[in-house]
Amino acid sequence: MPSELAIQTHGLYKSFGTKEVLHNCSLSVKQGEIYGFLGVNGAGKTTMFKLLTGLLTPTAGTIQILGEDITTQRESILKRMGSLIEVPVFYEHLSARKNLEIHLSYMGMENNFSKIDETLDKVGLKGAGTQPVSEYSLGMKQRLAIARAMIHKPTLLILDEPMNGLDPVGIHEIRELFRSLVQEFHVTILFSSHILSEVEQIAETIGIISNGRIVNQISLHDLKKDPSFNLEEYFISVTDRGC
Amino acid sequence: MLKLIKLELERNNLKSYIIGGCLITLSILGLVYLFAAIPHIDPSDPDVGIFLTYNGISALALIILAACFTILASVMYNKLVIAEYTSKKIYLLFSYPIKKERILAAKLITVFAFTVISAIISGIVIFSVFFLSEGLFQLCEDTLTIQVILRVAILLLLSAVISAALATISLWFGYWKKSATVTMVVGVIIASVFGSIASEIFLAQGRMQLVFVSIITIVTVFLAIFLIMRVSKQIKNTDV
Repeated sequence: MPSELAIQTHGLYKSFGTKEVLHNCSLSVKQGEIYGFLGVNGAGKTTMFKLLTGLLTPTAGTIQILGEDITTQRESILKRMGSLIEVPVFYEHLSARKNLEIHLSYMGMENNFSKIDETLDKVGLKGAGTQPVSEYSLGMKQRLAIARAMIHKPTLLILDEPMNGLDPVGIHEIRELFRSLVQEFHVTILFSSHILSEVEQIAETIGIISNGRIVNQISLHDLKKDPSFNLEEYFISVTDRGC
Repeated sequence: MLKLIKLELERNNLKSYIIGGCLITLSILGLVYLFAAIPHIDPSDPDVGIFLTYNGISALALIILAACFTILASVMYNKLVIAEYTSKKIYLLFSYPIKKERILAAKLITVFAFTVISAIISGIVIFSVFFLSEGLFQLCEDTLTIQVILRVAILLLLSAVISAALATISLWFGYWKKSATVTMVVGVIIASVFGSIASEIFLAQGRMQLVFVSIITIVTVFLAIFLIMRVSKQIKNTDV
């Protein structure tokens, strides 16, 4: 695998019983880029993310993450990865701070306890660290999930709809946070979202999945060279072709 | 492994189980005095002989104790294992760079150790209070000797292990059916069946009592190991 790729899948298939959810998917995400993964509901985005994070095993095909095979080097890869799959899940009776402490302990990074306040501040949860998570709104939980995904200093973030439940200010803050992570720490971010305007603003490359097939992977920079380019129209036209 | 167990304790609030253990202790203590009082209330009953000896009363108390802690352990297995592995929390558990079997092992050791330790403490409290009060107002007819106390101590240890091991049956059923209800119902059924079968064994006379209870303990521990290995294998190969 070329070293500049953070994620590379080859001929990836995933079936549940007789239902094939992913078909011959080849995904390539460069190191240090923000990659937007698009698809309608049920297209296979979450299944792809679960395969990339080792939650599912592929029916066929290979997955290379940060130069290693996720099926054989799961623990080694997970140390360097932060993820948010589907809805954010926490130990609700505990405070946000305690949740992050537990996460860091599982990650073997107890020396990062001192970074908790700083990280909560970065995601807009300053002063809310002692509050039980059960009292958090959906937006606050989403912010905390992002904090948890990044607090152990991963080199790769895989985030399934991280903007879900965030208000416009929150979306703006997270967007800036993603940019700073990439610029300052060369973190690779793969995320999915239905908010196409956000994807357009933040992603450098987009991948579109339709009916379990990756129908397109393209640089947004190249697409934007066309002054009449509109991501929504492009997305609909590509997914229609994919169907 | 100790670190993983510590993390289990940190993120799971065990207060309710400690309260449960205290309630079991108080209830059984009340029952022990009730058993001891029966011959004095109705001496004509032909079956009261069992309540006149320390062996009879302690055997009955230990059967009830083991049954109650089997149910308590089933509830804990449900909270720490079934509920986490059958809900969205599994995404969180499986995102840690730790082998799936090690996380499961930490949970099982936590429940097993909590059950055994709390059952032993419960038994110590029950029998200490009862035996001390026998010095003040004796209810049983036989003499309280060191041998009697030693026998009760050994049976208490074995009963505590039996209750933790038996609860793995409900764990296996609960994981198989991915259901909290199944876990609880099976826990209650196992406790009831154990109570019926164990009464004859725990009430055996002489050395046979310890031999029979030891055999039950060994059988249930092997059964627990077998079931835990099956659940562990299923969890290792789980797609979520």
